[in-house]
Amino acid sequence: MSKQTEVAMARAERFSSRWGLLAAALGMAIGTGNIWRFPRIAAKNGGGAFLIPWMVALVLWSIPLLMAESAMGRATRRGTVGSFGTIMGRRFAWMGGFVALCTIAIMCYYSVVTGWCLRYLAAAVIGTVGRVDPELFWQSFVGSQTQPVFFHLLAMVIAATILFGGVAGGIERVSKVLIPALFVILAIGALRSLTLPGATAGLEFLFRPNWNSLAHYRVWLEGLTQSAWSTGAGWGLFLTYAVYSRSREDVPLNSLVVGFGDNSASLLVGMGLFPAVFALAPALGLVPGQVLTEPGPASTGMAFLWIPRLFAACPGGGLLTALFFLALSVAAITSLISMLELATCNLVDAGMRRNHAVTLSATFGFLAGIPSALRLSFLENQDWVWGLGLLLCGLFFAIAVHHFGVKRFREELLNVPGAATKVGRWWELTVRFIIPAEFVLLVGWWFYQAIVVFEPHSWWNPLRPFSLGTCVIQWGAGVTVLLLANRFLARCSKGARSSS
Amino acid sequence: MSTAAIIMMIIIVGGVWGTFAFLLVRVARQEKQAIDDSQQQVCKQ
Repeated sequence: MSKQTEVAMARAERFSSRWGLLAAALGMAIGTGNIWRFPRIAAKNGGGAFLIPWMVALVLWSIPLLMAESAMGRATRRGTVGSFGTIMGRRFAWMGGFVALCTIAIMCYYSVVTGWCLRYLAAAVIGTVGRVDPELFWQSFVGSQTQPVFFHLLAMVIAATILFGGVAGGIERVSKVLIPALFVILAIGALRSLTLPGATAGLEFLFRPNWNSLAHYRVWLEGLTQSAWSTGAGWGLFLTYAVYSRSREDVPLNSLVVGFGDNSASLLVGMGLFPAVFALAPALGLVPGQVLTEPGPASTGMAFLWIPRLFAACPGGGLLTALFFLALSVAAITSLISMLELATCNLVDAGMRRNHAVTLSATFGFLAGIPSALRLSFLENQDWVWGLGLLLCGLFFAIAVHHFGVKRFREELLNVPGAATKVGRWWELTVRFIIPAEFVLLVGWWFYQAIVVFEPHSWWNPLRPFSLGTCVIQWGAGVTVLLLANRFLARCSKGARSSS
Repeated sequence: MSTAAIIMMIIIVGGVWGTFAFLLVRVARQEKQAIDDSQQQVCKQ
């Protein structure tokens, strides 16, 4: 088959059904952030009171951005670079490049984290996790150097193998099995936890509304950050999947399904973990609040240190541990494939064959992720820099909509003929005013944290992992390169897909 | 569990899961409608 034919076929790829697109999109959104980060952040910010800002953020940040992303992907049929180039004009292709840069940079260390989940899943299945002291197990795993690299490679190979199957034959087929399975696993885990003696104390902690907490700006900012990072809004991932959607897709409804599906999964995790921790921790002389909130190295505390210890102490704990790491692995893999697809999609736009694009993206992701696999401090630095960069990506999407015309975007790209769900003017107001305001508040707050809390004496030093300096230097380097290469990016991304 | 926590749980969990279920049902209806429409079109042809 000629290269042109293969490239044309890759560009004509589509999800075979709406359910396939939704399963893949839910897989993209539901990741380690739901299972690993949500319980910790919810516990740290007052449980029940935290849930209110988190829900508000879903409506005022995540869902509007998911709608914008999805509409851009479906209308342009191009990856992030081509989408920004088409919607805003070729001079702005670099903005799509920055979105791709952030997500690809995250993919490199996310694959390492996925590898940890796979290692713990294997150990849980053979029963090693419950027998060995979790602290020792973690130290011997991370300290071995070869193991994290091997499992990082394994994660990348699994994701690439799925992508080799194509959009319908790979991503869709796998997501249609894994996502319902993930919800079933989470439900089984929650049912088991809720039947433990003393489990209701966990539910009380998760849902008790401490209204005083709502007066703290930190709770609102944490709710907003959690929603932004958990749903994947502004990462360009939903845009990438929308490239392969049908032309008469109901974008608003799909975006709502992804947003509420993501929050549903988080709540299911919370209703499984909080009761388990509160039921099991006191018997081991542990304080439940500490178990839930202690971040540990690279925020691994709860998932990799406490959970194995707690579950080992309860009847059927081996099964519960295996279920927990199975859910974590499934969530991580389905998110990783969406990140790898984002890189692949942009390369296919540039005229590369799909299989070559997958191989190149996965090889790059593996090689660039090795430093994170070898040094936790490097991973933490990358998480800090590119995690914050995603907020900037969210702003870029809002700017793209502004540039196109907010009203025009809503009328021409969102409320298309055939879409039964019409978006009202609230969306225009949110994109025009609220998202930029949220961005200023969030980035301002995180920078304030960097200067005052994380690195008070060396916030300017780019060599410090959580400094403002390291963010500015790495973002600046990325933006400079992308601006210099803008003409090249715009030329490379002009390969359009058919819109049928 | 306190009454406040129970009420909060019903509102949040019921609200989020209920909305998610409602949205999925809506998608299913739209898909069924789309299949019916395409079948009708085939019959006409």
